[in-house]
Amino acid sequence: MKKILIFTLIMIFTLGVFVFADDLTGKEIISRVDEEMKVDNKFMEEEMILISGSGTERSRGLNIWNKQGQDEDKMMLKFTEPANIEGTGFLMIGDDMWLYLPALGKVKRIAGSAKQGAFMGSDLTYEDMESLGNTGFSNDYDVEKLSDSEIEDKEIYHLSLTPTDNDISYSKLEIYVDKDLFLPLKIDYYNNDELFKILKTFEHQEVNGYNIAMRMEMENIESGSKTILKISNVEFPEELEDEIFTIRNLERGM
Amino acid sequence: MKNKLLSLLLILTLLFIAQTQVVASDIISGEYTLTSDYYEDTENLETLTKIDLNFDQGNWTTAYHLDLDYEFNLKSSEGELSLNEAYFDYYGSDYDLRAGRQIVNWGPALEYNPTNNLNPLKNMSLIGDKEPILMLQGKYFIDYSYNVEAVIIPYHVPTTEEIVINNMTFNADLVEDDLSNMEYGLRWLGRGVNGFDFSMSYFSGFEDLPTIGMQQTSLGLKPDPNNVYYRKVDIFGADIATSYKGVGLWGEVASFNPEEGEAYYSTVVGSDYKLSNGAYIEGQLIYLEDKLSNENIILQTAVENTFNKIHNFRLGSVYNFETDGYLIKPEIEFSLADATTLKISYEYYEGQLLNNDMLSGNLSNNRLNVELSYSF
Repeated sequence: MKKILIFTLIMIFTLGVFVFADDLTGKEIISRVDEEMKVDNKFMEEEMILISGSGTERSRGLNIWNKQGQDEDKMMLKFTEPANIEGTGFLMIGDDMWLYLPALGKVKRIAGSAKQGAFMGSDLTYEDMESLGNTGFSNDYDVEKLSDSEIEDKEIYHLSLTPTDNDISYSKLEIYVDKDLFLPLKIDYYNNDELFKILKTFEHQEVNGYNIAMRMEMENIESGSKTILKISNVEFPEELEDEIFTIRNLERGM
Repeated sequence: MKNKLLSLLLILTLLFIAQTQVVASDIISGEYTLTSDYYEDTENLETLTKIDLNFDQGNWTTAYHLDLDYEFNLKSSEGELSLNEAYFDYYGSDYDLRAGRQIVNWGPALEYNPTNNLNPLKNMSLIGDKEPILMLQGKYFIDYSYNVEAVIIPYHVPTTEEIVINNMTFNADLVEDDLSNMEYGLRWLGRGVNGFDFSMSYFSGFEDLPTIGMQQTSLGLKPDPNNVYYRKVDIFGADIATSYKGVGLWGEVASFNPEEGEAYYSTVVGSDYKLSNGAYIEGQLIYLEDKLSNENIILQTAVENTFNKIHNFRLGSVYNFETDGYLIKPEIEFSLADATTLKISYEYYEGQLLNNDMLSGNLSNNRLNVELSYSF
């Protein structure tokens, strides 16, 4: 009798957890996604493959350092390949941005409007990079939970996001969130309610307690171009020196 | 003799690399270029092949950089090896030192920087590459936002050693290689201070272009061909750059105060903006006054964008309000492979672009340029 009681209690508890999990609202799910993607310090070595609409491929090697500061986020990016852009560096501290071009031998401040365009020639914009990083989606979008479904045998939450901020360049996002990892597996970006870009994430791994997609593909439906980001090494150090995020370091070719 | 010395230097460097068994690809980089220029006015076609070899090695304390250029004219079959930059870096805890043959670039403006007077120009042209010279450069970092820079140039290297008047060439007396004639520059910079970058600079040295002295004759004041020299000059400069509502803004001004004669100044104000479609537009207004009091008010504009994801185009223009002369320069750059590009550009001139004969250089000869380059 006692065993039956314990079994019944366990079943009720387990079912309760499932019921509770499925009862998550869209807002709660997107908050969990933001939390999963947020990291204080990150260093990545990655390859960016640009594919034009006609199928021509160009490859870039990048080292990226990210730090979430007390008041502002910081990012240092250096190109490592190919030879003609090697040493080119980009530094972002809050709204301030600088570019270092080795051929000119000097650092140039970049206008804030640079954030409107493509991120380093890719199909991702700075806005995309920020929302997939520490900024997240919660603050800029209203969320509606649509019916759950599956992508490649993975159970997913299907969310529809509508921007609350006029500065957001998309009219709508549809995000397909992995129920286990709380990471986006796919994001459909809409412009004037027409599908504009599709982001897919692959090869999810746990590194130092963080779940991360080691491969992302962003496809521009309009132009047919595509960008593939492949992470070859990722580290989440407890501390990243502020000295990394300085003009002095930007000017150094290392 | 100079070429032999440079060849020897190149061989010694290569031997040193081989000796130390360092993986060459880690420290050697460079660019191979095949460039062809067609000048419309003279109907002259020049084709050059160039190889630029860079040797770099360093760590968090020290680094060296050596840049050698070899240029071969395919038409005349003449080659020239030249040493570009060659310097040694030392990185301290809060200071950096760079000693050797180098280029120092000051100022946020595009292509023409009034505050940038440390290196001579490579060619007699207002906008062009700078010639590296021997310098000792030091930077002291007060904190992450502020730093001071000092540059010492042991001897004066001019842009040109001669002056042409009425088709007659007069050689200038070079500045004596004397400690008292040493040039120096100082700069105080702020970066990212409440959204602004700024600097104030001072340079003490000699003008890049010679001055011809005047003599009293029976016909009045006339140029004295035996008195062509470089005036000592103090240059005070300041610049600022920021971004407001997404628009990049910058300004740069320099006041040139020669030891004798009238002071003159130059200033640039500019702006840039990137549209959501990726197009980048920029514009600059340049006020340029030279030592002969020739005035130029120049509007420089450009628009650039990528196409088919990996190729670029740029359309640049320059218009001088004083002379009504203008330049239009379309450029297109094809990415042929990861490190291989083909660039085609055309410079079309109409009228006199610059109200200064000495610096006009080749700024009137329409030119078609085709350049193929491979970086490694």
